[in-house]
Amino acid sequence: MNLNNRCLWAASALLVGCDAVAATLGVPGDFATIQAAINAAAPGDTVEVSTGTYRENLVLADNVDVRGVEVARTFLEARDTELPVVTGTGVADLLFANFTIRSSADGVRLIDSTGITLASNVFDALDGIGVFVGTLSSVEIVNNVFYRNNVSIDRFTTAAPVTNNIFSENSFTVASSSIIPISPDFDVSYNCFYRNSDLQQSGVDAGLGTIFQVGNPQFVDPAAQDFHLRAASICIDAGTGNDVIDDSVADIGAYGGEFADAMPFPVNQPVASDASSSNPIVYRIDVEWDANLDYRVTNDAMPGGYKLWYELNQSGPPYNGDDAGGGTEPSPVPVGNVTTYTLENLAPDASAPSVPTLVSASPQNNSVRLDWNRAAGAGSYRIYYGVAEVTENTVSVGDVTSSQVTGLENGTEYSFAVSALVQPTYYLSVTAVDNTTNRNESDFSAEESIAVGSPVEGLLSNVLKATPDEVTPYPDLPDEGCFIATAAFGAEWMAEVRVLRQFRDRFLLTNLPGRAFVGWYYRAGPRAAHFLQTHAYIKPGVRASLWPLIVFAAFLLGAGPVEVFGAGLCSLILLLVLVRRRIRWPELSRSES
Amino acid sequence: MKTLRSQGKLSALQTIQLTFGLLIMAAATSSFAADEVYRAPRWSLELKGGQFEPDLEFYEQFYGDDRSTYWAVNGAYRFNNWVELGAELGYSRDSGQGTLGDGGSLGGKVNYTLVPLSVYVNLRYDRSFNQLFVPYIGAGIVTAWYRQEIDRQPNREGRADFGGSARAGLQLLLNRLDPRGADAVRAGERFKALVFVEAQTFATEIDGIDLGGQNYLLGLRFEFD
Repeated sequence: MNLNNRCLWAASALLVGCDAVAATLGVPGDFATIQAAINAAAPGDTVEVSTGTYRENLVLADNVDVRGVEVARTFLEARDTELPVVTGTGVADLLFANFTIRSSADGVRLIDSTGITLASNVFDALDGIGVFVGTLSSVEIVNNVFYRNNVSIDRFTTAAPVTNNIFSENSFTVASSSIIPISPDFDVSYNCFYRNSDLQQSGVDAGLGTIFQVGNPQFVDPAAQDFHLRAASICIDAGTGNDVIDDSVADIGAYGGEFADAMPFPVNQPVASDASSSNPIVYRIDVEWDANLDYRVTNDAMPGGYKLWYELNQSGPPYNGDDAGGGTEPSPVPVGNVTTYTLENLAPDASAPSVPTLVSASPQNNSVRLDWNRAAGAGSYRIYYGVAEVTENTVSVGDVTSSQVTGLENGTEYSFAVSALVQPTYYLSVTAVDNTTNRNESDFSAEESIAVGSPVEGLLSNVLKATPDEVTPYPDLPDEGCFIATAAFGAEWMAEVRVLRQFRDRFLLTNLPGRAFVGWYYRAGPRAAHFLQTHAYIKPGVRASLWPLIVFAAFLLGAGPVEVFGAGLCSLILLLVLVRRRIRWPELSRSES
Repeated sequence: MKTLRSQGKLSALQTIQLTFGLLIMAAATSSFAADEVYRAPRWSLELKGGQFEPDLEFYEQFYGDDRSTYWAVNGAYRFNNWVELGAELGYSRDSGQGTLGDGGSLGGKVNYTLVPLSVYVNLRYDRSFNQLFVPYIGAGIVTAWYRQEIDRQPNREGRADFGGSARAGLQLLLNRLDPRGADAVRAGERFKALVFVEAQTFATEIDGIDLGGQNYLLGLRFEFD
């Protein structure tokens, strides 16, 4: 926006005493969409857009500024990719700044619009035209980043100065598809150029206009939309005008000039590890994070640094921890220009959770299923059970409200109770701070949490008693499982039959071929069993033929992995020998004849 | 000589088996009585579902109520307009409890699955292609596979002995209500779609325990050549 016009407008509003005081309309706080805010704004108002991704095709309004709060994290994408993300037709006197425009064809299209300022935006990989300036328009294109676009700027007018911008890896930088083309060098100054296809000659980079830089702008991390500059960038202090962030000569790019947002890029999620010692007990946490490579943070001569924020048992800001360093290092801890830090002498503690109510203890075969009500503040539970005393045995379970206690003796009455536990947990975040006099600070990193210290246990619940026992289903039907063996050995509870059933459950039903065999056996078995029952004289022979299988099954059931492998190997060798002998038989018979 | 009469009155199972035998004889001789003008489609497929009420006396005590859901599919062949031979596979599954120890208190979790298979003969009163209502009765033989899954115990599974089944129902011809819908399925062919209600009773025992009961079903029937 033309600042002189804006000042005049504000002054005249004051002079006439009207109520047209410029307002700031927040998105999404006040309005769900940017366009809704623009439509509701009065001349002189500013639409301020919080971080996030907005899929809209904006139509600008007269004298209504539109600004993102943080270039790197305020994204604009076209809802209809056939249309530009931003269109201004016949509008005047406005600032459009601090957005990253991506995932679209065309970025900003301005027709018959005057007094427009496009500042501190990033045009990231657009398939069409980043900025189109039509005839009868006047637009200042200042301190933007054009990165990997098809066409960065297409000008139909000479009233579109291009200043302090970075053009990196675009197909076309400053073009003019007008019938009367505007020279790409016209009114282009203080820009930085790097690997733009239309400017490279025999692989050598070149620039446009006057007083330009050619070389790698050294973005921090373009893939993460962090277009801050590293310390080695040639764009630092190479622009024209003043830099609002550090009050020096303006940097070229989105983070220089008078409209740049001052917030450093957030640090990645830190990694915390428990570094406590047991003798003597000292609780400490090692925290590590990736460096923010913005030159205003890493500057060797006058570095910025980081703040470590923490709080015990409370997730999310404001991170009001106060126990680190034995109480001498309240959150946030200004840790300086380092990327690791140890929070020492912590005092992890937690309020005891409330008492759960044990609702039911349902006996089953050799086990009892417990159900209880969730206790406020609980992070996990501990089950107590025993015969004489309920505290004879304990089992720790997670954050659940039912569990099965197994390994119990049928016919014995057990007592059960449950208690809730809470684990002291620290929640951590890191912010980056730049080296300016304002000490600009980034947003919080993603949060890290870590459990430290011993769980705090609440009181025992009510006690319930239960006697596990074998369950008889209704109706009490027979299991015709091992048909032939049952028929041969007389009853299914015979030891031999039990061995075969265990073999079936452990070695056959656990794999596809085994299940197929069992399926076939269940179809054919009853007929064979019936035949055996009606021809008792065959039973001894069947029993004898089953014995090797029973012995083999018993061996496998009692064997470890090594024995099982050995048995399998022996079987394989035996099979191979038999196959070889079978192959040779015809040869033998021929030779004999 | 020991006859059915000499044992007193016929049991339900014997009645069903006797009826089934009579129906088989009827099927074998029924071609003489076939309608010479109208010939019903030969094949049919039925999909049906509803309620199964087992004859087990204490079923409600162990499974919460005295019924469970029942699904079945069957296919049949028409010898003529009024006799068909079919086979039906059903499925019922319920969850409940068992008894702990020696008939003690309720406990444990038991899933009871029953898969009855029956072969039956139906007598159908079906005199024309556009007859709106078709009543039918039938009888057959049945067996059932069962499985009882008990938490933390081995499953029990097996098959019950052959028993008898009887059924009766009333079918409504959907072609009459929506001719275009029927044409859309099999345009230009003899195809009938019917919706029906059916009641069944069956008995199949294992160790003296009758796993049968009564089914009340709603289904769709498709007839085609």
